Amino acid sequence: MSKPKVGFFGLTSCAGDQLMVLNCEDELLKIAGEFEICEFTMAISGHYDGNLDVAFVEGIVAHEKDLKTLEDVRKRSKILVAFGTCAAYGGLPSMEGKFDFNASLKKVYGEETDFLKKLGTRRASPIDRFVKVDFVLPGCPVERDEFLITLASLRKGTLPEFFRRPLCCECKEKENVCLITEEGEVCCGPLTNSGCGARCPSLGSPCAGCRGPLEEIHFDAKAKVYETMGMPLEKVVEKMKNFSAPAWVVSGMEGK
Amino acid sequence: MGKMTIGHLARVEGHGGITVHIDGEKVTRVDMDVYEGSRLYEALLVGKRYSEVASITSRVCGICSAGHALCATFAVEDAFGVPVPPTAKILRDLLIHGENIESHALHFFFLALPDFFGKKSVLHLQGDAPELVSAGVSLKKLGNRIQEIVGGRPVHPVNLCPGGLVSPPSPGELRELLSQMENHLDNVDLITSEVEKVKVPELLSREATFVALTSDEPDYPFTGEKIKTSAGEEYPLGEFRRICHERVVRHSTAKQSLYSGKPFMVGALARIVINGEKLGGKAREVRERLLPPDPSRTPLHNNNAQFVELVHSLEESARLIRVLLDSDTSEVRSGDVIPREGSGIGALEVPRGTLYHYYEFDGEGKVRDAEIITPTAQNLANIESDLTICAENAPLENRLEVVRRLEMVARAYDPCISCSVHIIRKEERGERSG
Ligand code: SF4
Ligand code: SF4
Ligand code: NI
Repeated sequence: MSKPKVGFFGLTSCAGDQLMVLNCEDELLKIAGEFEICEFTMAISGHYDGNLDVAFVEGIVAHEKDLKTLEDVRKRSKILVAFGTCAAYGGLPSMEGKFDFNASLKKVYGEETDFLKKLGTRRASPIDRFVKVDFVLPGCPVERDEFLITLASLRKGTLPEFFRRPLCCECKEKENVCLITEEGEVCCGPLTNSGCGARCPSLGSPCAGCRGPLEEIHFDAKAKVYETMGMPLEKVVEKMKNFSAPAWVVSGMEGK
Repeated sequence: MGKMTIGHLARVEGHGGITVHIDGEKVTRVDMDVYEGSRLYEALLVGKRYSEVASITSRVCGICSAGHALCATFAVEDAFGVPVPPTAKILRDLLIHGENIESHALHFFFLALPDFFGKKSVLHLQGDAPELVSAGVSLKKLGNRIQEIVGGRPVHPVNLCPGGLVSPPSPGELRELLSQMENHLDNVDLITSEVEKVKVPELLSREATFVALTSDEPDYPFTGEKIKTSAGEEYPLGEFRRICHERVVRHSTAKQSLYSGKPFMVGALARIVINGEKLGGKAREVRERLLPPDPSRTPLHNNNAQFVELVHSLEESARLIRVLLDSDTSEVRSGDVIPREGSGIGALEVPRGTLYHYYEFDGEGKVRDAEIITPTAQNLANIESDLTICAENAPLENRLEVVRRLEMVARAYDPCISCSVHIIRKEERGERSG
């Protein structure tokens, strides 16, 4: 199989996931040898408009220009990966329902904000509102190991299967004490995608849900679990919304 | 009126471009365009609990995430009067140096260096400068490792909390870092000789104002109780708005900072201009080798200033780890944080310059108001004025050459466009009116 053509794209974002690519210091040269990196503006000069085997897309759509890039990349790519929690679930910038978009523009820029909208500013949204997403790599930022495993599979022409469990499972494997039952903390572990090795609870602080919600959450069962732990489910969902509000609020989400 | 546009600046963090406005043969103005959607963090923060502020603001920027998280934490501690145990202070300093090493290595070797060899990226540089590439790669890795061990993750730290750190690193981890630092320090002279061979082109020469935090302590500071300008004025932190007088540039959507109505520069070069006398050890030697006695006339010296700071951060972090290994490091967190109504300021020298976070809290510790002023927002006006001077000196008939020069000048600032939270794109604007 010839070298797959890949591109890394950043929509409006913190660039943390693209940085995680560069943070594979030991593997970087190897990656550049196994793949044809056609576009990665953060690190390589030049622009490419041909077709791609895989596009990694980081960030949210918060600007008309983001949407244009996203649609264009989608057209040119066989596989489009939502790269990081922002792209996949909206991330922190899209705490929808938590605030009034117009009021926020005013808060940051002062009274006159019409010019901002003319220039293309829009309400933040995850990318699956606009295009088909073939694969999700969650994380804020993505985990290095999962990224490398994904590349290894892609090199063989497949996509990896990550078994997404509640983060709690990884936390148990680490033999941590449970922060909900022992400390009464609001921990998002039961609702959150595994894959980070339970970073936060292993240090002693509750999970903030940065890897986004599990695809299938059995709410009734979860509510019972939380109840027996003495923690209302709503409190946890409230916290989860910091990183994945659009995934929880389904109505009123059409980007404006 | 003609125009020359660089659509998307490569090898900078975030989305930006450059537009040169030309009238006949004359450059009238150069704009640094920002094509980034707004993420309105200052509004998102309202109503959030103090304990979430660091985690939220670290997402302003991946490259500067430790800086934002720390600066936010400082502001919370300032507002509630939270004490921080000495060990935690040392570990936080170590985190600052970790970020400085990672970020400077990324910029110096990966983003800026390829220009000096006419190459597209660090990956294309292997043949020309193998020693520099491998030093860059391993320094960057070390910076990340420090952030991972102290901060819990290389990007978006999870180990910080008001009152200290959640959990201390183990002595074994610290020793691992120390031995890597020592290896790098052994190598500094060699790498410095390689850096010395890279000539800094004369693209512009001008006078500029510089701003950095400073302190009465003898150490080269990354935190400090005063803001100092190269004109010699000093202000207490509480007066940060006098320095960073932010304005919304109408039709342009980017907020810019001015000091006394004039642009200024922050970052590694500014710190060296203002606090360089305090550098000691190898960093001082390297400074003498790589920078002229007065390096203030061109922003291109910011690249070598970053390299000098890299060496300083290596030496300092090795020293800090030795201190930690010699003491009891178990206590890294003070007691419970008791929120109260009030406001707090955090100020910190992050790789690209001074960062300010300001919050007002209600009695329960929920954010009532937030303000974040990033280094790149402060630098924007100065970048534009330098780009203008650079374009005036450039051969306009040779587009490639103009582009090359402007890109080098913009990159020297190491702009972090994501970081400038309240900047939005400023293309398509008519005449600047605000
Ligand atoms: S998911 Fe996190 S790391 Fe990725 S762009 Fe969003 S804020 Fe940054
Ligand atoms: S424990 Fe939770 S918040 Fe922490 S890194 Fe993992 S998913 Fe993110
Ligand atoms: Ni930044």
